[in-house]
Amino acid sequence: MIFGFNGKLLDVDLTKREIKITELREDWCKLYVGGSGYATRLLYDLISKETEPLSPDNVLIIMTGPFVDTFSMSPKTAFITKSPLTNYLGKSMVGGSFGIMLKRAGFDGIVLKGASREPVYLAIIEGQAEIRDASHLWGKDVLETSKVIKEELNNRKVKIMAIGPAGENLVRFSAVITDERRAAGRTGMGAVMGSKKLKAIVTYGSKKVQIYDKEKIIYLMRKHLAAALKSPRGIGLRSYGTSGGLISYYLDGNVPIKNWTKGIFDKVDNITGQTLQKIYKSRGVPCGTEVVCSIQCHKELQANDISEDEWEKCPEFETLALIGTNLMIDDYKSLIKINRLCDRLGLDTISTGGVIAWAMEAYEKGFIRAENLGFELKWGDGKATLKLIEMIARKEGLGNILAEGVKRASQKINLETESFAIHVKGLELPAHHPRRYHSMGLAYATSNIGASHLQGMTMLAERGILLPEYGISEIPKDAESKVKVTIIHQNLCAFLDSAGLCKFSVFGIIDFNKIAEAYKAVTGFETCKEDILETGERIWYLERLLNLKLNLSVKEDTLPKRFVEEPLNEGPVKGVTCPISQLLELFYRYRELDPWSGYPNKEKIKKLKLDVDVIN
Amino acid sequence: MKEIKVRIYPDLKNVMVIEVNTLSVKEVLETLKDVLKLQGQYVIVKNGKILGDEEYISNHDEITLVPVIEGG
Repeated sequence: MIFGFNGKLLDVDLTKREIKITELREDWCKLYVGGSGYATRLLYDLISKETEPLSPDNVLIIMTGPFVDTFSMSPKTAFITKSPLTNYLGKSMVGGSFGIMLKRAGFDGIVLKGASREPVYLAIIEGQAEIRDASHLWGKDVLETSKVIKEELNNRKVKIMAIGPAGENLVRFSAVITDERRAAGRTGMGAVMGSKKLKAIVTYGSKKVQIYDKEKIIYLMRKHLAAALKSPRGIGLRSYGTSGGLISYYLDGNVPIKNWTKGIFDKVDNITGQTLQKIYKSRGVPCGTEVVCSIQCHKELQANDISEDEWEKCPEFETLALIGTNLMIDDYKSLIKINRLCDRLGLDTISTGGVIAWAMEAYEKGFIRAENLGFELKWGDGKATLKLIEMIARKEGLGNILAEGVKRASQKINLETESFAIHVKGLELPAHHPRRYHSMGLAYATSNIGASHLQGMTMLAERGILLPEYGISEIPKDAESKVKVTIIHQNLCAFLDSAGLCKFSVFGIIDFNKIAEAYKAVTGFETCKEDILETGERIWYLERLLNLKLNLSVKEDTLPKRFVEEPLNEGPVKGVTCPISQLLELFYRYRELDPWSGYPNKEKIKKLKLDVDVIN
Repeated sequence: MKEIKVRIYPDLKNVMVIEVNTLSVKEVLETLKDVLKLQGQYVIVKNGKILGDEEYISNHDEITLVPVIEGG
């Protein structure tokens, strides 16, 4: 028995309609924890550079970590695959109750191979798994799908992850939506599920996994929940959710405006989380009903003038920034509607915002014309944005090109538009600004999934949320300390994604000595904070090696030129660019990566006990 | 004692006049959080700019307290 786990994975071959149960490997749990680390190790042996992401050959792994359903604020379930957006590692972490319920149903993860000929859904109920027909669900949006499945099963407690029309139509930045409102948004998970004709996965169970030291875990959970209530970061998130971050980030120069070309958006007050929660009655809830969380950053609004639901989801910070300030939309009603539409259609709001910002700039510069599009596409136009989002999900007209993501779309429309296609390795940028926080620029450039803010949350360190337990006791000011902070953050994020802990409940709230204690109490594995860092480091290098196996070139460890060569002429970051070359040079040195091939040296691989075949 | 005019974001219409002993941003922030019973992290914003701890405001200045949320 492995404490913290069921010890079982579901191995589903959708082509053959076969379901097998395989055992979890204890050695891999020790080396790669679980969640994203374990799933990446599994994927490493299952795909190659020839694997087409949207073919039956690709493998999608949905995996929980040892903290899921054993520790507080730990709902995060990993989606791991070869990304149709980047052609490299695809990874997305999602909150909500799905992972918790999957574990209660008796499984730690699901390995999805092959592709069904007809639409199906997978039902995993109390230790039994079954592939069911989903022809009647194909074409429905995420909310309708969930409603029909719950009625069919006559069970309102089941947890569902589903794709919408965007995933069915293979939109490369489509999401999988869990619990009807949490998105595994990044790197195109919806399209991979769609390519397998897998409309949804449904789970329910009542089993609890065994914990090594239950008494200690209860003690540490109490400490964790109390710390979240007391810390400034926890208080802020509890008060307003992530949407409350927009105003202070804006004032700090840390949001995109007009596809990253402006530093001032004087209508920002119309769309901040504080404004939305002043206009509408609001409430905070955990991201899933089974999640033990004292922060409850998921905010809902009683927006009955625009929503049929009693409680409507409040857009998160990333959505308000990428679709609000970035598209210069100051109409909060449009933003709430866009947010919901993206969930219903199954689209990642970050990439959607990035792609439409590029389209608006292309329209402004004459590369896209109203006569071809059927309507005008001007900055700030919420109605045009809503229309375009429908077109993307249905792959209609220009939507068919935008559905490819900003990198491919810019190559198709006109190569001149590539200069304002804002992405890293094909993944559109999140909202934190590389001109403002240079370490975020480095984190985007070197993230193993492309531009992601959750693979190294270094803006926190640059804003004063430090990690004294790892020697980060001062805000990093010079290039050297920014690079060191980035590496530590990348390693810690890799560990957290593998364990299942929500990052909002860690940085600025609980130190890693306590997390090490909790990890030992759950799994029984002897662990200290240094082990956590080393395990995270091992997982980061594993991801890197997988990408190199998939043909990653070091040239792709970079930022869009806009951040490097084009300073803003206004706002808090006026005149500033990101010195990415200098940061990368140091990064390669500290990471012990060959600057030409991008590979780590053999000693590093051996030292980290990485058990993979490396062809270099 | 010095008087300053304070708004708390997002309530920008409601201006409070508050007396403070010092005009150092760091100390004004602490005083205001104490007097107004505010929890969590805030910054002082004047004319659309976040003021640093080491800066000073002026007597009769109008400032806004903006909550800081570190997320997303």
